[in-house]
Amino acid sequence: MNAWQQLSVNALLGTQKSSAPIVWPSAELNQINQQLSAHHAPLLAQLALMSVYQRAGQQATKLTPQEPAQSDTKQAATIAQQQPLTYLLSHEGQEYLSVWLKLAAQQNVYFPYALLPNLLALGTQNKRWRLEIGAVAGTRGTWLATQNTEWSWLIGAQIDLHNELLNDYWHTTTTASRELIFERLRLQLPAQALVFLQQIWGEETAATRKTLLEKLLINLTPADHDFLEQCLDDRSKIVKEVAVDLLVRLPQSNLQQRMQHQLSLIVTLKKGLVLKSLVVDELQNVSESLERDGLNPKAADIRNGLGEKAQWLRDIVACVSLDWLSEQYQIPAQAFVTATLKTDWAEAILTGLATAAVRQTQADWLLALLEVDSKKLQLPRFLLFNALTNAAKETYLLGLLANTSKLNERASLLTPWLYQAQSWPWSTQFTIVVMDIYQQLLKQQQSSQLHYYLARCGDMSLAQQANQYPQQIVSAWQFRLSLKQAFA
Amino acid sequence: MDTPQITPEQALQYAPDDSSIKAAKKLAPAHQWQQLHLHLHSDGCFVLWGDISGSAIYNSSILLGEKFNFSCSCPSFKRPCKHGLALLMCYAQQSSAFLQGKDIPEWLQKQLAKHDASTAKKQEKAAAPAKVVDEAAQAKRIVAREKKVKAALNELQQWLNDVIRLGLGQAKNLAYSDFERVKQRLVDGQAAGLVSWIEDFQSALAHQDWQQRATQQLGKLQLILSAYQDLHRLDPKLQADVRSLVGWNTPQDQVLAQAQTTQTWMIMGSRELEGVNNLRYRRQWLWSLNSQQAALVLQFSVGFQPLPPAWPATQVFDAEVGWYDSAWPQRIAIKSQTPLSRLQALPNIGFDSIEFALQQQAQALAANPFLAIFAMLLKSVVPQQHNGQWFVIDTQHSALPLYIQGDVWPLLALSGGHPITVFGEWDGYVLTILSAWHQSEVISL
Repeated sequence: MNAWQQLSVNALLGTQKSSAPIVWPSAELNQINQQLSAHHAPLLAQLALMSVYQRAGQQATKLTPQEPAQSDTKQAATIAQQQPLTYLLSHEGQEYLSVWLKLAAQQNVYFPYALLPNLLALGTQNKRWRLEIGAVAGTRGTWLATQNTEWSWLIGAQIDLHNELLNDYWHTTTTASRELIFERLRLQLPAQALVFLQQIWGEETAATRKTLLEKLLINLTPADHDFLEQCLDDRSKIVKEVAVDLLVRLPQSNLQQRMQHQLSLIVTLKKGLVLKSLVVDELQNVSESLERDGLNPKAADIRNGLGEKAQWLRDIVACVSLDWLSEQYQIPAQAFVTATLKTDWAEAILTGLATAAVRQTQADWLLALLEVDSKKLQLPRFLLFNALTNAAKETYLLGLLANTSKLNERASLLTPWLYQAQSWPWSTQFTIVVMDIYQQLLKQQQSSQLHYYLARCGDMSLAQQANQYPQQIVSAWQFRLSLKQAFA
Repeated sequence: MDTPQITPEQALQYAPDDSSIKAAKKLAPAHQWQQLHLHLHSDGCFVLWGDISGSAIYNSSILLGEKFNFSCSCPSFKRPCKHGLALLMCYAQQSSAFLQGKDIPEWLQKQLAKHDASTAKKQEKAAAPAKVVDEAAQAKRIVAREKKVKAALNELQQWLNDVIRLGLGQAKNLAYSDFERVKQRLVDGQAAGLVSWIEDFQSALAHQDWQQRATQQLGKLQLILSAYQDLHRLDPKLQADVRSLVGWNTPQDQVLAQAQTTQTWMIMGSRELEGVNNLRYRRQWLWSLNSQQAALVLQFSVGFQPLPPAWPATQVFDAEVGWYDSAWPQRIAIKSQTPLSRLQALPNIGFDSIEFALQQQAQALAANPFLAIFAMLLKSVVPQQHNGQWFVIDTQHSALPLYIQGDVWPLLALSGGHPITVFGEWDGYVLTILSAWHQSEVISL
């Protein structure tokens, strides 16, 4: 025990108790100690002396450094590219983050090191960022992911898909990492992805099977058909639902053909002199074959107000090809919808048609269904709208606006669509129309949220022209432009 | 004239509380504001102003003077309110959104006129002849305080004697109120400087390694008390150190009167702490690029008054400074300084190894054994975790335990296992890292 340790023991016990003699480390200290014996509390004086001695003689611990991160082959971000990153990582700026990440990935730029933890934390919280993060995290990100298990998903976003060890990694990695590998394989090597999925299919939980199966939507081809058809026999309802959803997106899939056959048996077209009408011969029960194809024999979904037979009809309609439907009944989309509205089964058929239209992104059907009076039937209008192309969305909204010249009505017509639907980059013409409405509202000193959508989605190139637009919107456009210019 | 540069982190330092930050972040994007302007006032200060729609249209402005002066027409009692904070954040994030112009609205003209009148009044007061100091009365006050301090220190000595008699094993069971009583007596006895040492002793007793730490802390306290008792036998500079520790202040004018030639200073980082009586203070560290030594600027605020924003690490400025008397001078007062600027490339400065840094500390302690904190600028060190504790390791594999107020991951990401430069406060147990850099990337911690 050295002098300091002995003093510590003496201090712990207190001077009331007998203390052990101290062996001083040097003659000088011993000499000073002798001078301290006259002190009213010698132990305190000894502690005072040794506290400085101890600190002045401090030694460092010896440790071996670990393996460092490999050097990045990507380029460092320039100051202009780095500048907006603190804002882009904040909750408010995240809507523009994707733009930065995509541009950086295109230009082979890595994310600044010091901000990487914030970016990885964002990816940990929200899966939607993970692939984009993987493209910019660089070797520093790979190294960090080995230091923090929460970030281990990054390995899946970065691993070389041609790596010999990929197969081993696929079998041993975490679910989060496996999801990312599968998504990347689907994008680049869809056939190999299917093989990988089949390898682990029997071992995974229903939730994981569902998540991975959903990703088959990426580059879905007839090559996936047989596997999906097998999935109809899956014991899990959620997996089966995804399999049905994917199969009906495959043109001429067996499921689609079975459903078309079933529909042709129960829905017929009655031709009058002028008009055509639909006759529905209701399905009385669900056969084992139909149950396998996703129909629920015990359907009792009260939420949307449909009875079981209506639900069966809806589910059958949702699975047929809309091209086949037009051909089979010899009437175009609009006429079919009109004919349907006259039947007692309008809600069931139209809801099924809406699902089919969204799955098959058939513009004529989407628009025909959007025309249905929303007061009569509650169709998923925003889902239908989202399935339209950007140009079609704008044409539809401009059409709505053309029906009224009253400023407040025009603003009220527009706002729900902008608020509820997924945002899209607006064309110049559409931006000018919305801007006109917003500026008129401003002149009348009426409040509006249109500026928010103008700033976020409006055509930013308008900021480069001479204009009289509100400054805050122009500033937001300039900010969006500056993001692009930083990578120009 | 260059427009002011403010970082989002600096802007957030003005927030009175966390809820203001949350609210201000929502209002900070430029599109939330109806108008945003930057105006150069006649006194050379820039003014940010803008209108934002809330329950009504609110006019918000910030005079970017030596101290930022926030003003807003909203009914909030907080200053700055969320609008003021959002305006500053908006400028920090997107200064290009602010239109520069001479025309200002009437409400702002009135505010600026009020500000000008207040500035003129202050200048008038400053220009007035200084009050004649009654030296006899001052000497009498000093003698009276000396007496009070000695009495308080005698009581503290008595308490330490009791502690050591009973032993630290018993001291561990002392009640919170026992420590509060000792601290209050020190405040009453005008020796408030020792309160933090008592707090350190109290914390040491609660530490995992309490036996070693409490013994060390007790020794440090006794060293100060013994030194104060024999103050006249010490070197005058060491006397100044001891008196400063006990709580005697040196007037800033006295320090500035001895201001030396201009040097270039690099900002190293800062740490905010709480003192007694609702006092908050910041230790702002600088590094002289001329003499390669650390210097400390203390900034204080009382109550709800916010501290001025901390300076951004690794920026530089030239300044004429005065050093407070000390056997190992650390603290400075700034007489005059140039605006902050960035270096083209960060310099390769600092201690080459941890061993060398510890040798420097030993030298510092030899000169001033009361030194509580030793500033360390270490180049080429790697942060790394070992058995649940984080360390910095140098090229010779020597390691010191590190501590970071907040998240350690940015430091680790900056390094990636490669050597970086770090600056921190070494207190004998742990290196509290305040900033780090590698090439052009800098982090403040």
